[in-house]
Amino acid sequence: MVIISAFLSFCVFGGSLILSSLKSGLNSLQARLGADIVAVPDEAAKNKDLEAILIQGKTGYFYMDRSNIDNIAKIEGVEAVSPQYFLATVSEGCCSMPVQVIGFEPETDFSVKPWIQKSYKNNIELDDVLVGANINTQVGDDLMFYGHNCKVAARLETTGTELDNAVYTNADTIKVLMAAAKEKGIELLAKNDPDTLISSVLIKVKEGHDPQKIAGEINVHYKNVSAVQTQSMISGIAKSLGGISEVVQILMWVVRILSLGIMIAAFAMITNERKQEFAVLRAIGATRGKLAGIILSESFITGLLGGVLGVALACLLILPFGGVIEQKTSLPYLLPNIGSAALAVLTAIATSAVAGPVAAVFSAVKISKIDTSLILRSN
Amino acid sequence: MILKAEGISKRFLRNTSTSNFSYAVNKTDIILSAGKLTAVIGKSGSGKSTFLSMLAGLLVPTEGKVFYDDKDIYALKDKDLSKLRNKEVGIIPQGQAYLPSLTVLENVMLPCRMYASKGEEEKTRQKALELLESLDIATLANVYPSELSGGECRRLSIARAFIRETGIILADEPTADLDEENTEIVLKALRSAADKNKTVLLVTHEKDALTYADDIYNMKSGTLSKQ
Amino acid sequence: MFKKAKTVTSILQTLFSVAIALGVMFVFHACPAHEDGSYMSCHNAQLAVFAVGLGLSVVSVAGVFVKSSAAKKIISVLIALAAAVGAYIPQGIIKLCMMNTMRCHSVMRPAVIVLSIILIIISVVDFVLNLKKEEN
Repeated sequence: MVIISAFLSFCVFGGSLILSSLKSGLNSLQARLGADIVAVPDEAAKNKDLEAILIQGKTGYFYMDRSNIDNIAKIEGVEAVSPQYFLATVSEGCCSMPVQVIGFEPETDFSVKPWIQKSYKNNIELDDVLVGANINTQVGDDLMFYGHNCKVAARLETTGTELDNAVYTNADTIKVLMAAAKEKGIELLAKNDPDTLISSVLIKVKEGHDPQKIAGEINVHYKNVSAVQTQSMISGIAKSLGGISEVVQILMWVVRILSLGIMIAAFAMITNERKQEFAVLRAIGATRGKLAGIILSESFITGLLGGVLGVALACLLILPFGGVIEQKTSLPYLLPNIGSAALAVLTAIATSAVAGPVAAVFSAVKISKIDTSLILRSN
Repeated sequence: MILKAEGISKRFLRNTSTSNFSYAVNKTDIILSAGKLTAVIGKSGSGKSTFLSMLAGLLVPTEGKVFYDDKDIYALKDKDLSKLRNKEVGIIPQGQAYLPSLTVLENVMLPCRMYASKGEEEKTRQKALELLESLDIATLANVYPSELSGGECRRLSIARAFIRETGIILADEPTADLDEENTEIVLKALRSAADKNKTVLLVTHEKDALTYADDIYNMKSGTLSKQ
Repeated sequence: MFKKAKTVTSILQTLFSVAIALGVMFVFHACPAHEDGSYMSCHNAQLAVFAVGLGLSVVSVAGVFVKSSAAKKIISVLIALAAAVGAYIPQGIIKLCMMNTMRCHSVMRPAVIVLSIILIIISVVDFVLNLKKEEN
């Protein structure tokens, strides 16, 4: 019975933990966005990984002329614009995983700065880099990109997305890195001066204006530029999450119902096998209510024990493997805060603790009505 | 304590060729007095155990009443009857009747713990150990009943029945499956209880038990008659 | 009852020790080699955990056959300590790769930690069971 209760609470807590982590990841992603629209080079818009590159920090780079910043800023309804620069690189010290370097202009930025300032309030100097939470370095360490040495100024807060694999720096530093990359022979940079290039323009829309209309205007008037609404990118991820969430919820209900069914059958069997014991208790003066009470309290205790065991197992088997879950689902995955986690723990334990007596009620009623004399005689 | 049964019978629903019911115990009266060991003898299936269950308050008679002194036990609510049974009746059931998850000592102490007042634990423990000593199974106090022999189990049941010093002792086939030595121990214990002014009823199919009885009744096909 | 339980814990200790040793080499291994055949530093962590797992397996198997309660208790303590060391090896003693998303961080390290914790719990239970026998 303890094992069945443990299985129930394992599935309830495990399922809740995974779901709330996926939701936290999505919320974290939404919080990272400051822009309503992102303008990118036309060729980049055809890239199937564009969404992942723009909002999840996947490695990739593309460039367009920086004159587009001023052109877009002039459009009616645009409140603010800020460029970003992307460069995918392999740090010589970073094993063989590519790292996305994202440059931004602190003077005009409204998207990245609020998040960065939670971990680093100083000015970002030349060659300073701010590393995502997944990069194992210490503040003050050196990182080399395309032969150019940068210094780690801060490690950023976990987002639960691939932004945790990225490195942030200011526009001056990334232009130096782009120049270094050009010298190393990166094709996209070969024909152009890095000082004239940007990767994207983040656009904030004024209150009361329609982002879809402004995006449409950009797409019509600027042939080499494509504008994408960030909300539509998020909704794609939210849809995938919704699908997974539904499946997990259904599985959790199946587990609940199956567990309850098994527990009811198990209690009936166990109670039947212990008939003799209950008959002896009755013979020495136990009331019918007391017999039922014994079954209910035993079932509550086994449910509670199983609940605690199941939650402990779920913590042991799910918490350490968050990275794998994130990779396999390709969705943002961020462990919920202590409060949400505690609530999920209590809910799972309470579910098991309550399931016990609920499953045992039929057996408790039956045992309270036993024919004591018949059972004692039949021994 | 006087145990009196007035016109009790027990009818069970069965499909027989003559009627839908059969009487396990036909209408009968009996008075059991304190200080006497009364034996009811009869073949298996004659209705002895059914008769004892009705006297014990465990089986409601189809008709008739059972009195402990002047108290009509079947007029009581289950809560009161259960408490009365705990306080006034020590039952030695057939076969091996114990709680396997408790030790021998804990099994013996059980009737006292059921409605225990605070601070009685040590007194109960001492009493239980004395009873086990008197039945020569004190060394098995901390053993689990599943490790006991049939005779030792029966002595456990006797100790448990005696611990509350109840006025009534009801023993249902207490010597079944026992060897001569254990049979003698059990019958002597029951005789000793009667000598201490308890009302003792012994239901048995063994004729050897009759030498210990003051009164003997015969149960044949549900009908009780005094021998 | 206790004898049966102690046999079960001894067998479980062996199973989980073998799981650590074989698992770290074939299932939850570290990052694969470079194209040129060279390995990253996490490979050393993998080998170290394998060595600890091998030692744990040998000691656990001995524990199955040993009869003395005192010896069994010592074996349980040794297994628990060795498992704790084994869990600490990846990243604690031998640094792993720089990116947390790499296999050594996301798969090898959590798997080694989880199995080690389970092994420690089993060893504690085994130790307590061997204490109880003496009381009885």
